[in-house]
Amino acid sequence: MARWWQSLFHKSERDRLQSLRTLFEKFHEILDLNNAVLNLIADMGEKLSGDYVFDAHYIESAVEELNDLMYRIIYNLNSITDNRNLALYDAFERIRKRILEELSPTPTRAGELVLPLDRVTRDLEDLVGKKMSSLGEIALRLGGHVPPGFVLTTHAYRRFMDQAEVRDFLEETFDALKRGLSPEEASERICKVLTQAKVPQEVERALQPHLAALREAGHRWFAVRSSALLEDSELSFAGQYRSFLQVAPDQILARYKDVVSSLFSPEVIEYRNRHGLSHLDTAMAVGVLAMAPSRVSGVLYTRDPEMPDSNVILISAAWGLARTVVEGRGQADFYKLSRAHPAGASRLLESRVAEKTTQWLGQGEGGEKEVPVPAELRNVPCLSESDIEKLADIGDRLEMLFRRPQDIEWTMDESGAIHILQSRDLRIRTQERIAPEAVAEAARARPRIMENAGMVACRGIGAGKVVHVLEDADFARFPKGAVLVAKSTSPKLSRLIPLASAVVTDIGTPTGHMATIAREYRVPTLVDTGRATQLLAEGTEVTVDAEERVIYSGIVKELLQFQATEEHPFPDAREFRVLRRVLHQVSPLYLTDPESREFTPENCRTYHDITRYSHEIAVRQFIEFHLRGSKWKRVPMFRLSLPVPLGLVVIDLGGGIAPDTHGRVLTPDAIASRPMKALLIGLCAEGVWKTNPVDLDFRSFMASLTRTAHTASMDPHRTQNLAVLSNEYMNLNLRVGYHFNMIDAILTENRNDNYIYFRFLGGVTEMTRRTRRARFLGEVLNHYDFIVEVKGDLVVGRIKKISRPMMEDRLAMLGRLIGYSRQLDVLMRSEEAVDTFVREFVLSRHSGPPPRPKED
Amino acid sequence: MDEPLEILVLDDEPIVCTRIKPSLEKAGYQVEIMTDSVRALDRIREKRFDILITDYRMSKVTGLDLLNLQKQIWPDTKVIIISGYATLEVARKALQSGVYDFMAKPFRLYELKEVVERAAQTIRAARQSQRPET
Repeated sequence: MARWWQSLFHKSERDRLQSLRTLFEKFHEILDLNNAVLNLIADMGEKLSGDYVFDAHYIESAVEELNDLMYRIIYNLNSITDNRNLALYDAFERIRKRILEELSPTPTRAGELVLPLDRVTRDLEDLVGKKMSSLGEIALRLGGHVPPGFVLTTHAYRRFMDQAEVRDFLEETFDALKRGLSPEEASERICKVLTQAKVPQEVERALQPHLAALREAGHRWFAVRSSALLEDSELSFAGQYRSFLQVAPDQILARYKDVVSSLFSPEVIEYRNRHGLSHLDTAMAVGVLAMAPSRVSGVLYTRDPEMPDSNVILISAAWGLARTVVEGRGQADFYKLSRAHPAGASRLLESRVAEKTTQWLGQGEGGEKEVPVPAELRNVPCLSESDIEKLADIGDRLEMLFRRPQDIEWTMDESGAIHILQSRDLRIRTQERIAPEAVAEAARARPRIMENAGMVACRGIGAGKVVHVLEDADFARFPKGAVLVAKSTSPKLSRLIPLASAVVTDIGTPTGHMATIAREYRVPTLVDTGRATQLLAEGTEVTVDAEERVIYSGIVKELLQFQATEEHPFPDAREFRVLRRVLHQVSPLYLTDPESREFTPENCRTYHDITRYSHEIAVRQFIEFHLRGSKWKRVPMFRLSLPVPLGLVVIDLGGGIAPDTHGRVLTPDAIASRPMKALLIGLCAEGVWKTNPVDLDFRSFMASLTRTAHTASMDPHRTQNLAVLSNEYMNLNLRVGYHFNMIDAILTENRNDNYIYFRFLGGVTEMTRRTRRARFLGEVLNHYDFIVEVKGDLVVGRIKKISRPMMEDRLAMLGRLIGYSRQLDVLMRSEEAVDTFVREFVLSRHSGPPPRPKED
Repeated sequence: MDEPLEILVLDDEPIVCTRIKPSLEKAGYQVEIMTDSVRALDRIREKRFDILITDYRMSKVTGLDLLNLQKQIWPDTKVIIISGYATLEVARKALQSGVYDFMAKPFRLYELKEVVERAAQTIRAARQSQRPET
C-alpha cells in the first residue's frame, strides 16, 4: 500500500499533526505489515495446492521475507508503545529458530528422539520414516484403526550411530569395502558391532515413559518395525528391512538394533555401492507398536496391480499373524471384489477358500511360531461377508487418503475390529502404466462441461457422481466417493471433504479454510468456478480435472489411471513436506481472545499469533491516542450528519471528502472516499434502521450513538465513532459501550489491492448472547464469501482480491449489517433466533436495493 | 495427428522437473528431464529438441550458456527460461539472446503450459510453411 498519507499530512497543519502523523504512520505500517504477513502466509499455503512449480529456494526466500516483515512489525509496535512489548522479540526468535530447523537439510526437530504415534503425521516423514508417517496419518485421519505405539526417530538413529566406537568402525569398514572387502563380510562385521553397541541412555530414557504408558494400558507384546527414509531410489528395499513381532518389553532395544542392522545387509550395501549412494547418510526410524491380537490377518490391494484400471479390490486372508500371507507361506483365502468407481458399494466377485493347515501365532514366551490350524477351521473361510465389506471400506478410505492405489497389511482381532499394520503405495507394473499420449487423446475426445473452471485449491483428478450439498443439508447422507458440489466454501462443508472424491464450488478462494482441509486430505478441489451448481447435474457422473481446470462429462478412466500411477505425487515431495512444516510454525492462530489474560507476547506460538497481538495492541494504542484529546481539538475533523442515528467523526487524509466542501458538518454526498461511499449506501438504505420495539439496552445504545454527533463534547470516556478516510481507503472504528467494530478497507480498480477487514468484539449482554451475535455476524459474513473466524464473541472477517463492483456490494452489505445488528444481542434469545436473523438479513438484502452485482 | 513435439526440461532442482514432466506429457508432449547442466550440454549437442525449458541459475552452466549453445546448434528450438531469481536484468539479457519466453518461479503449471502451447503453435506453423506440398 502506498504511503499516501505522508504527503497529505505535509500539506496542512504540519506541526500540530506531527505526533498524530507519526502514530498513524506507524499504526498503518503495522496494519500493512500484518496484511503482508497474512498474504504471504496465504500465498505459501496456496503453493500447497500443487498448482505451482516451486523449489527449496522459494521456501527459503519466503521465510526470509516473513522474518523481515515480522521484525518490522515488532519494531514498529515497540516504537509506538514505548518499548512495552520487547518480549515479542523473544517470541519471534523462538519461532524463527524452529523454522530454521525445519529448513535444515537433516531431519527436523533435533530434540525429538521418540515420538508417540498419535503425534505423527505424514509431514514428519523425515523424522519417522515412510511406514510410520503413513500409520500416523491413518490414525489421525481415519480416527483409529492403528495399534498404539511410538517411534524411535531418525534422530535417535543418528545418536546411536554417532557413538564414537560405532562411527569409527563404520568408517573403517566402508574404507575397507572400497579396497575390496566383500559386501557379505562388511555386512557381517557391521551387524556384529551394531548389535553389541549400546543404545544411548538418552534414547532409552526418552522411550521409557511411552513404553510404560502402553504397558499400563495392558499391552504385553510389541511389534518392532522398520520405517526407513525411502527416497525413490530406495523404494526397492522396502521388503529388505526387518521387523519383529511378539517382542517382550525388555527385548525391544535388542530388536531395535537388529532392525537398524538391516540397513546394512549385503544386498543393500551392494545396491548403494552400485548407485554411488553414501552408506553413512542413510537413516532409519523404528516403530514400536502394541501387538494387535490377530485372529485373521492378510493383505488388501485396492486395485489389481496387473490390471490397475479394472476396479477390483483383492484380499488375501489367513488365520493368525500376517506372516502367512505377507511372505506367501502356506495357504490363504482369496477374495476379489468389484467396486463402484472410484469408491463406493463393492460386490464380491470371487472367493476361493483355501485349505489352511498351519498358522503363525504369537508365543507366550515371545516370538512367533508356525502351528497347526485346528481341524474345524481348516476349510472354513476366514472372513465373513461383513468382514469383507468392512475391509473393502477401509481400503477405499485409504486409497482416498493417499490418493493412490494401496497395498495394505491388516489384521483383525476376536471382536472383528480391523487394525492397519501398514499401508503403502501399490506397486503397479510399469508396463501397466498408461501412456501419456493415450491420456491426452482420451481427454481430448471427452465432452467437457466446464473449461477454465475457477481456481485450483488442491491439484488432482477425481471422479464420481455429483452430489449437491446445501448449507443445511443432512451431512450424514453424503455418499463416499461422490463429487461434492456446493455454492461456497464453508467451514461446515469441510467435514465432508474426507469422503469426497473431488470438490467443486461456485465461489471461494484457494486460500480459505476449506481449501486447507482439501489439501490436508488431498481431495482435488476447484473453487470459484462461477456456475458449477448450475452446470453439474445432481446424480450425473463427472470427472473433475483439478489440474487443467476442466470438468468432463462421465468418468475418464485414463485420467484417473494416469494420476494413480504417477511416479512423483507432488504432496509427497520433500519441498511440500518442508513447506507444510514451516507453515505449521507460522500460520495457526492460538492467540484468539484479546480480553484474556493469556493474550501476551510470551504466549505467541506462531507468527500469526504475533501479528494478531501486534494488531490488537496497535489499534488500542491508536484509539487511546485519539481519545486522549487535547491535540485532537485542533485537528481538522468533520462531523458526518446522517439520516440514521449514528454520529461519526471523519478525518480526511486526502481525497476522502469532496474538494468543494465547506464547514465542519458533512452530508453523505460530501463523502468522496470510495469504500465509505459504498458503505453509506447500505448504512442509509431504507428499512435498515427501522425502529424495533426499544429495549432498555437499545435506548442507551441509541443515546450513546447520538452523543458522538457533537464533536465539541468529545469525552474520552464516551463512545467514539471515527472514520479515517482517503479516496480509496477507509478505516472505520465504531465503538459503542463495550462493542468495538473496526472495518478497514481499500477499494481500487486493481482487485489485487482490494480488501475488507472486519473485526467485531464485545457486546453489552451476557456471554451466551454475545456469542450468538458473533455467530450471526460470522454466518452472514460467511454467506458473503468472507473468510471468517469466530472465537467466542470475537469475529474477524476478511475478504480480498475481489473486483470493484464486488467490493462495493460487500461494503454496502456491511453498512446494512452495522445498522441491522446494532441491537441484536439483546434480541438473540435462542439459537433459532440466530438462524432467523441470518435468513432475514440475507433475504432482505436480496429483495431490496442495491442489487447484487455479478463477480467479473 | 502431428508427431508429438519433444521438450527437454532442465533444472538443478529435481522437483521442478518432476512437476513439469507429467503436466506436459498429459498435454501430449514428449518430455525428457535432466538435472545436470553439464550432461544437458551433451544432450543438446546430440539431439534436437523442439522446446527447451531451462532454469537460469544452475551450479555449473547457466541458462544463458545453454541458450547460446542451443541457438548455435539448433537455432529453431524455442527456449523458455524459468528462474527463481527473476530480475529485470536477467530477463533483459535472456530476451536479447533470443529466448522465447521468460518465467519467474514459482509459476502455475498451466501458465507454463500456455507458453509451451504458444511456442508449439509457432513451431507447427513454421513446419507447415516449409512443407507446402504435403
